[in-house]
Formats: sequence, structure tokens, C-alpha cells
Amino acid sequence: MRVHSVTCHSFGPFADRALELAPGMNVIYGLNEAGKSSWHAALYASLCGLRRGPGKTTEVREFEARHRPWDRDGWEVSELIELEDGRRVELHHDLDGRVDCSAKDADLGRDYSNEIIFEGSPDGSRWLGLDRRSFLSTACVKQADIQAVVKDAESLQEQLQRAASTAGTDATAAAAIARLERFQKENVGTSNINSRRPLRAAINRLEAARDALAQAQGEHVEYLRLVEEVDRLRENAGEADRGVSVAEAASAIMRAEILKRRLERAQALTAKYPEEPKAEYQSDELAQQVTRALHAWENRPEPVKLEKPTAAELTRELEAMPALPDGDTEVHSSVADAKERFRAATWALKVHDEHRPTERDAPDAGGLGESDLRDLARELEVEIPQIEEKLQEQVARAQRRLSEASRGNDRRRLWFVIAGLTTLVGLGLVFAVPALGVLLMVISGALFVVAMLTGRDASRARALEELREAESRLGQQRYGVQEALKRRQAAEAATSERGLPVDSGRLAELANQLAQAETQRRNLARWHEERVSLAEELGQAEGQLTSAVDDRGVEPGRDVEAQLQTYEAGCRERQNGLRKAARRPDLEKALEERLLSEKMAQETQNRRRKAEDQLREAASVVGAEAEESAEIAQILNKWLEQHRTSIKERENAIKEWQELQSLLDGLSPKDLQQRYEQQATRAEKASRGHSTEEMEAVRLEDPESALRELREEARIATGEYQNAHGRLEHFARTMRSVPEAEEELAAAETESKRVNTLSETLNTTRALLEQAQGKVHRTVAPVLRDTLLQWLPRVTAGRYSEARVDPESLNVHVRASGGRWREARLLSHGTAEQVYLLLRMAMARHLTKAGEICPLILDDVTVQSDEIRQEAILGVLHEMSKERQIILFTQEAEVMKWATSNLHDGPDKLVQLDAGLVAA
Amino acid sequence: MKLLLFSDLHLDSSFAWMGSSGAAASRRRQALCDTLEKIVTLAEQVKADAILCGGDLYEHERVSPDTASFLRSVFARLDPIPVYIAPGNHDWFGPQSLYGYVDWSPNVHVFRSGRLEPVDLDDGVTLWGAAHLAPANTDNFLRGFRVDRAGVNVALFHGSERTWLTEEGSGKAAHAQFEAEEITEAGLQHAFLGHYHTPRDAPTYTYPGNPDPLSFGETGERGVVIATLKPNGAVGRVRMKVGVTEAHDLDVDVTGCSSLQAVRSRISDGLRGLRGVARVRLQGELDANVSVQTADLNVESGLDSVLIEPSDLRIAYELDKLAEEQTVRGEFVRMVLKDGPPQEKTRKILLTGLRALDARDDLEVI
Repeated sequence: MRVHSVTCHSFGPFADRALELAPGMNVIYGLNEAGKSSWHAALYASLCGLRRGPGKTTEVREFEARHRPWDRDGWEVSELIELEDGRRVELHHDLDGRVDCSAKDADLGRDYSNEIIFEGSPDGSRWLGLDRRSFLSTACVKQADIQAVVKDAESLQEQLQRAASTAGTDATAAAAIARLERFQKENVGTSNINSRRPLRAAINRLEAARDALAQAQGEHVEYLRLVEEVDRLRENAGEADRGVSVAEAASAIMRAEILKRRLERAQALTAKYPEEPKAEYQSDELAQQVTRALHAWENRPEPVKLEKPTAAELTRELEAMPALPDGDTEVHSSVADAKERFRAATWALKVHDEHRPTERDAPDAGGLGESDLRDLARELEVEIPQIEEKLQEQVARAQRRLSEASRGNDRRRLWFVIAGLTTLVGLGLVFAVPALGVLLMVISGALFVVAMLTGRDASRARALEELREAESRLGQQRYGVQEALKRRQAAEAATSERGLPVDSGRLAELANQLAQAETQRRNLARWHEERVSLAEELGQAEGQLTSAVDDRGVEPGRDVEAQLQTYEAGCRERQNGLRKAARRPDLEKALEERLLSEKMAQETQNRRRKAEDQLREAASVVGAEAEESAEIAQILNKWLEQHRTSIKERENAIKEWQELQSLLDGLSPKDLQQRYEQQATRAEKASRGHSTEEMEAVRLEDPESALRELREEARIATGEYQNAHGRLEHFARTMRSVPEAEEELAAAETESKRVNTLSETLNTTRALLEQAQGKVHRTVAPVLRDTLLQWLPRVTAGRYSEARVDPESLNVHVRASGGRWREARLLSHGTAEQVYLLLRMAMARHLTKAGEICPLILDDVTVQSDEIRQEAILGVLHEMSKERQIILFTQEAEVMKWATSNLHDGPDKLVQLDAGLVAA
Repeated sequence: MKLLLFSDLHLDSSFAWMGSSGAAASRRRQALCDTLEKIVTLAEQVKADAILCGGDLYEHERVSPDTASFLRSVFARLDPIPVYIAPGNHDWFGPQSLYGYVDWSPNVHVFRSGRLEPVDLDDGVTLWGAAHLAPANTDNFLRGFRVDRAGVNVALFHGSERTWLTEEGSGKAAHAQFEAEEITEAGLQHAFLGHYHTPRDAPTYTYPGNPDPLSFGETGERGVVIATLKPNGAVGRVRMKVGVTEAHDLDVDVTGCSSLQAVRSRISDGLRGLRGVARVRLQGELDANVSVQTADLNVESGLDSVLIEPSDLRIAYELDKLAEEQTVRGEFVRMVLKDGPPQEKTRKILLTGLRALDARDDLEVI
């Protein structure tokens, strides 16, 4: 972009004034009050215009205060520019109303305003990729900027950072980040427990609100529990009261009913006894006599009925009873034992005789005993062994081998003979025909060897050994056969000699018969021995029995059996006598009892007689007449009953009279009637609201006591209810409000959310700014370095030729070729200014949209420089003007002089402002 | 026969939604009581034969002792005009329920069964009512129900008619759901209902809606319904507004405001003449140079509470142009906008970063 002209239609001190500019370097010279600042402002305002919108910013207000025409209406500028794409655009700004603002093609009339609208109005710097704020800081270099670089070593870096951050309009990114950090520290803080910043405060408030809500909800739960309890206790109290009410009603009804019955009774008794009945006294002595007589008669003993035998009969029976017998009444034990022994011996002998063994004769055994017969039988049965056939074959085989071995020995002997002969012949010819003799010797040797190898003695010896062994075993078997035959033949000879059968079986049978006969003989001998013994025992038993019977006083006799029977019969007879004599004590006791019974029967009879006498006497007194005692008693009982009824009626009348007095209790029947009616009314009132069933269900045995208990229960129930109700009311007064706690929690959550959102926003913002700063610095640093490398040698006359830019901090270092790196901010003032201008240009190049070139507008940038530095700056600017338009406002004559000498018409231009043109 | 129907008053409700706490919220809770007073007064004025409450009269979890005595006294004032209450999911009937605790005047009848039970409204007119016995999982009252008497039969309960459930939004839980057809199938001529806060007048049922505001942005003519029950069971309905609280939703465009005071003035202008509570939603393009904090916007007004929140607040920065800058600022803007136009979060980040780069100290963005 290049500015061709600026026209102040009405701006500051100017009215319809134009400033023409060259495309290269323009030096606009003017002394103070020549309008440099106004043209500078007009140049800016005609390109960028002013923000259009409600209200005015401080910058706009200040701009307006300085550059609004002082003495006329309207505020209007225009500018003709040429873009790099060749378009020539005329920008027009009505700075006052900011409505008539436009950007039109100077050749075609086309309106480009919409392309560059920024904050409500066309802004020509938009074609540069800038805006009216960033254009100022990018394209306009003020005197102060240069001064700052010289005065403040940090300024260069700070300006670069600011340019990189906001195109120089505002803070650096680092400052913005630091600002965010400060803001966060102040307005968020940490969650540290000791912190007093908003984040901690919000957390505290939130925690407190949650606690408060939990407490409020807990209290509310307790409140509802108390409500339930009060409700329950109230129901209990109501039930108790109702119970009392029902009981009272029932009691009232009961009292009314009692009164009613009392009244009715009193009315009945009053009718019955208009006056008090008289109390008549009568003697009851007669009644007592009758009563005693009746009692005696009715309780008379029953007559005693005695069974036989009578006392006389018993006496006679005692007198007729025999004396006690003399002698054994039972068989004496000595007799019994002897009898037992005798019976056993008799029976044993009898049984022994019944089992006498029979006698048997022994068979004829030729004088041989049983064992001899059995030996002969065994010899006859001796087995004859058989000779094994294979043993015979084995003998024949051994004989054949032995025969073959014998023939081999014959051939051997022949070879030895031949060999001997050959040797002898050889010996003979050795001396005569040595060769033949030696040959024969050799042959004879070979023949000896053959003889040695042919038919050795070993095989014959083995054959011989086998034959001997086989024959030995065959001989043993043949001996066994011969021995067996000899034993059998000897047995047969012995049997035959004694005339016994040559049969082992018959010999064995004969041996058996012989053994049985011997056994029978021995048994019979033993029987005889035992019978003698049994006969002796019988004799002894009989003697013992005879002796025992004799001892018991039985006369001796021949037959012991008869003696025994006599003794036993005597015992039985004495036993019967003894049994009869033993009844005497019983009879004596029975007699005694009988005598007592007969006495008691007599007494009973006497008492019955007396009772009857009394009965008849009483009957005579009361005038009863009858024959039979029972009839008399019946009459007397009837009389006595009538007497008692009379007494009872009298007593009852007195009692009822007393009852009447008690019922009236000092009242008249009328009063009693009135009292009943009052009670009935009360009962009717008390029973209102209660069902008949309810009241009938109440059965009060002791109404007053029951009512007292019910009232006490009701009083306790009511007290519990009232206490609980009081607790509830007290609790309700102090309990916290749940909705209020919820609202406070919601407010605390809102505040917490606000602080956390703020914290999150600040954190994210800071992180993004740091990322953006790093990225941009990394992009800008090479741009700055390349610019310096391109321009530095030229503007420093080769003193510095190398540069580097720290992408982190944008810190600039330069050095001569191979020299030491030096921080640009610490170079001499002149060099620093040159470097600064180069960097500003580089930054302008970087910040400007690709394809466009941003002009540089400089305001008295050399005013504080000495001549050398001034010339150096102007030289740099002139160099720069070859690629971008430079517009330098200056009040220095040295600069004008330099321009006069160095600028060339065409690309460059020197404009001298006339001080007198500025309106006073 | 004239019946006054209301529901969903939600006494003792929390007013956190209003963005206020303390006295302002307390006044709003009191306003709910005032509304009930107005309902009772209205019942007397229109000579209603009975008042029907479709539940959620109060909130069990928050109910205060004062509410208990208030309810008793306010309904006792109507005696002998009967008041029928069908507890809902918020004022469900249970052992700890206020309904059991309060010593009601004889004219108050609280339905205490989970099944529809009859009371005689008039000769030949039966009201069937039921109660929620738990805060959730209450089944359809009409399922398996059939009236067992002649004459006119109407119902009173707290339930969700299914076809309207979706329109109530996701925040509305379904309780005791039923189909409209089930009303007539049960032999009922009409059902007087509670639960939906948005009023509905259907042929066979009526939702009066919440009589006093319970949130911002409520629509429809909410209040009470004066229902005239005719001998043939037909119902005539007249809606009457009884709410004490006014809840206003206000959109304030701050475009063109060049100062905080200008923004405050816009808000004041918008709130002028209003009563009750208001939600101010800031919209438009706020000048980048204007620093606005929520606390700075507390303007004087006659309202109990003003909730201010950004709605469609845009940034006055020309972001597209800033994004063209080859500066850290440009890079920052590009980074923030890489995922598209700024939303609430990125808007704050952008403004914070740009303000920091502008060396401003108002780094908290609303």
C-alpha cells in the first residue's frame, strides 16, 4: 500500500487542504504549529477512519478533542491510496457523523467499503491485515519509541513482544499472562484451608451450606418423627378420654338403673309395710323339746342283727376240742434220708441187672492174634514194582556208543603203526639217500599228527560212564521187584500153614471178629464187678433205714418196708390231731368278740327304747295322737315346720322394714323418685355419642374404682400427649428451615460454580495464551533474524553481519563476523536505533497481510539523535523506502537538509509545511 | 353444583430456582400461603359447594410447623363448606404426614386410602378420591376400578395422564399414570386432577395447574378452576387467576450499551412497573469495552428478586478480523475458535484473554 494523497476537507486547522506523497521516502518538514501532527492524524484518520458505535472510547474522545475543526462544522478527510494489486482507492471519512464513510475505486467507482468495515466504519488498514488500532502501533513509529529503546535497555524486547502479541496495541502476552495470574490469585486463590480468597471462601460456604442442609433435613426428619409421636399420643389420649367417657356413661346408666331398682323396691316395701311390723317374742322351749325328741328318734341307732354261732355254741365247741398229739407229726429227716438212699440203691441194682452184657465166643485164628492177622493181610497186599522201559533203552544206547568208541581206537593204532614204520624207514635212508630219508621223516611226523587227531579215548570213556550209570539204575529196579515177590510169598506160606484163607480181606475180617469178641469179654467182667458194688450199697441202705425207723420208735420186724409204712401212717395220724387242736385260740377270740357284740346289741336296744319314749312324751305335750312312732314323728315334724315358718315370716318382715329404711335413707319415696329421675337424665346425657354396644361392652364391677383407674390412665395419656406436643412446639420453634437451607446451598453452589468456572476459564485462557505466545514467537523470530541479516551489514557498514533472535523471549543478539554475540539492546544508541527500525520494519512486514506492504509513518524519530545517528537513521529509512513508502514528519532543519541532498524527485519527496497555514 | 378445584400449590417449596435466598425466598413462600388464602376467599365469594385439592398442597420433606397450623385455620374458616384433599407425591399420606397430625375442622376430608373411595358430595353425586401413600411408585388409581353406584360419579386424585407426560418435559416424573379413556371406562363422568403444572382442560379431566409460580417460564392460564357439575355429569369450567406472585421472564438487549450504567439502565427500564420476581436474560452484543459483573447489575426495583443471567450475549470483538492477525492475539483467537463459533465457555475464555491482552482488569466475564 502506498498513500498518494491526503485531503483534509475539514480537519483540525485545515480546510480543503491536500498533501501529495511520493511512493518512496517522504520527508514532511515543518516547524512547530506548522500542522505536522494534524497531517499525521489526518493521514491516519483518512486511512482508518474512526470507530462507529454507541458511546465513545477514551481514545476517540481524545482524538476528537485534538483534531476536530476548531472553528467550523464538519469533520471530514479523504485519502487516495494504491494497493499492491494495482487498485487505486479513495477513502472518504465523515468523522463527525461517521455515516458518509466509503472506500471506492478511484478509477472504477466501485465501492469496497464492505471489504474493510471494522467496528462500524471502513478501515483501510484492513487491506494490510491490520485494523485502526494495530495500524497505529505497526505503521507509526513515534519519537518516544526510539527514545525508549535508547533510554531503556528492556524496551526493545518489550516492544517486540508487544508487537508480536497485539501488533503493539496493547500488553504483551507475558504481561497478559501475568495479569491473569494476578487476577486469579486475587479473585480465585487456592483451595488451601488457610486461604481467604474466593475459592476457599466458596468451598467453606458450600461445606457450611451442605452441613446446614443436612442438619435442617435431620431436624426435619426429627420433627416429622415427633409429629408422628404426638399424633400417636393424641390418639392414645383421645382413646383414653373416650374410654373414660364411655365408662362414665356406663356408670351413670348403671347408677340410674340401681336407683330405679331401689325406687321400685322401696315403693313395693312401702306398699307392703305401711307401718313398722311388731316384734313378737315366743318361747321356743316346746319347739326345742320336740326338736330334741325328733332328733333323738330320727337319729336312734339301728337294731343290731347278730349271726351264728352264738357265745354258747362257741363255748361248747371249745370244750369239745382234743389235746395236742405225742410223736412225729411229719417223717423225720433221718428216716427220709435213709428211705431215699434205700430207694436209690434198690432202683440202681434193678437197672444194672436189666443191662447185663451178652456173652460171645472168639473165632479160630490159628493161634494168631488180631495184629498178626492184620500184618499178614498187609503182606499179602504188597505191590510188585514195574521196571521202566526207557531205562532199558538207555542201557542199549550206551552199549552201542561204547562199541563205536572201541572201533575208533583200532584205526588210531593203525596210524601209529604206519607212522612208526615210516620213521624207521626214514632213519634208515637218512644217511644213504638223505633227501628221501628226510622226506620220509617228515611224512612220518604228519602221520603221527593224524594218529593223534583220529580216535581219541575220551568218547569211549563217556560212553562207558553212561552205560555204567544206566545199568546201575536198572539193577536197583530189578532188586525191588525181587524183594516184593519174596515178602508176598512168605505171607502166603504163613497163612497156608495155619489153615487160614490166603486172602487179605478175609484175614482183615477175621481180625475184626477177634477184636469184637475180646471187647465183649471185657464188658461182661466189668458188669459183674459193678453189680457186686451195687448189692453192697443196697445192703448198707437197708441197714440205715432199719436203724432210722427203729430210732423213731417203730417196733422192729423182718420187713423194713412194713416198718417204714407203719412209721409214715403214724406220722399222718398225729398230723391230723395236731391240725384240730390248733383252732382253739381262734375260737377263744371269736367267743370274746361275740360276747362284746351281744352286749352292744343290748345297749342299742335300750337307746331305741328311750328315743321312742321321748317321742311319745313330746307328742303328748303337743297333743299329737298316733299309734306308730313313725306316724308320731311325722306329726311332730309337720308341727315343727309350721313353727319355723311362722318365725321366718316375722323375721322377714322386720328385715324388709329395715331394708326399706335403708333404701329410703332418710328420704321420702317421692324424694327418691326425684333423685332417680335426675340420675336418669345425667345418664342419658353421658351416653350421648356413644353407641349402645360400646356402653354395653363396659362391665364395671367396681364402677368408682374402675373410673378412677380410667381417669388416671386418661390423665397420664393426656399428660404424655401434652408433653410431646410441648416438645414438638419447642422443637418446631428452634428447627431450621429446609427450604432456606436448600436455597443457601443453591446460592453456595452458584457461587462455587462461579469461582470454579472463573478458575477454569482463567487457567484455560492462560494456557492458550502461553501456547499462542510460543507459537507466534517461534514464527516471528526467524522473520526478525532474516530482516536483520539482510539489512544489518548495510546499515552498520559491515560492522555487524550476523544476528539471532531467541524465539522464547524475542531477545536479539548481533555480532560481527566471527565476533562475540552482543545483545542488541546493549549496543550503542545509534546502532540500537538502527536495529530497532529494522526490527519495526520486520515486524510490520510480519504483521502485514501477505501481498501487501505497509508504509511506515515516522514522527520526529531523530529529534534526540546527534548528527551521526540522525544520518544513520535517515540512511536506513531511505534504504527501506526502496521497498515501502516512508513518511517522515520532522521539525529538524538537519533532516530537511539531508532530504534536500539525498532525496530525488519521483520516488521521494520533500514537503515543507508552512507554519502560517495553521490557523491561529 | 359448584366445585372449586386447585392443586400443586407446593407450600414450603424451595425457591432456589429464583436465584434468591433469605428474606426474598421467605416472602415467596409466604406468597404461597397468601395464594391459598385467596383461594379460600374465592370459594366463599363464588359460593362453592366444595373445594377440591388435587394434591401437592405442601412438600412433605420441607413442610414447616407453621404450615400445619395455617392449613388447619385456613380450611376451618370455610366450615361448613367441605374441603376434599387427595394427597399427591409431594404431600403423600403416611404415618408422619401432616394430614394425620393436624386436628382438622369437620369440613376437611383427607382421602387416606391408596384406592379410590367414595364420599357423597350431594344427593346422587359421588366423589371418589385416593391418596398417594408414598413419594413414588404409586400405581394407576383407575386400574381395575369401577364405580358401584348410580348417579354422577367424579374423581379427585393426583396422577399423570399419559398423553401429556412428554409435553411436561423430562423434569416431570410420572406418578400414578393413567389413560384418559380409563376415566369413562371406570364409569366416571370427570376426573379432577393434580400433578401437571401446565393447565389442561380435557373433555373428561381437568388439571388446574399450579396457582402460584414455581419456576420461570411458566405458560398457560394457571390458577383455580370453578367447575360446575351438572346433573348429567357434564362439567362447565371457568379458570380464575389467584396467584400472588408474578414471575417475569425478561430479555434485555444490551447491544449498543457503551457503559455499565447503560446496561443497568436497560435492565431498570425492563423491570419498571413489575412486581414479584424476574429473570433477566441478557442478550445482544455487548461492547467489548464495557465491563459487566453480575453484582454490578443489582438495580433498584420493586421486585422481590431479580435473577440476571446471560442468554444470547455476544462478543463485540470482530473475532474474524482478530483471527487474521499474525500476533499472539490472533493466534489465541484462532486457537479458541478452532472448534467453531464461541459457546458459553469459549466466549468467556475469548473475552478473558482479549481483555488480558488489552491490559484490562475486568477479567471475570459474565
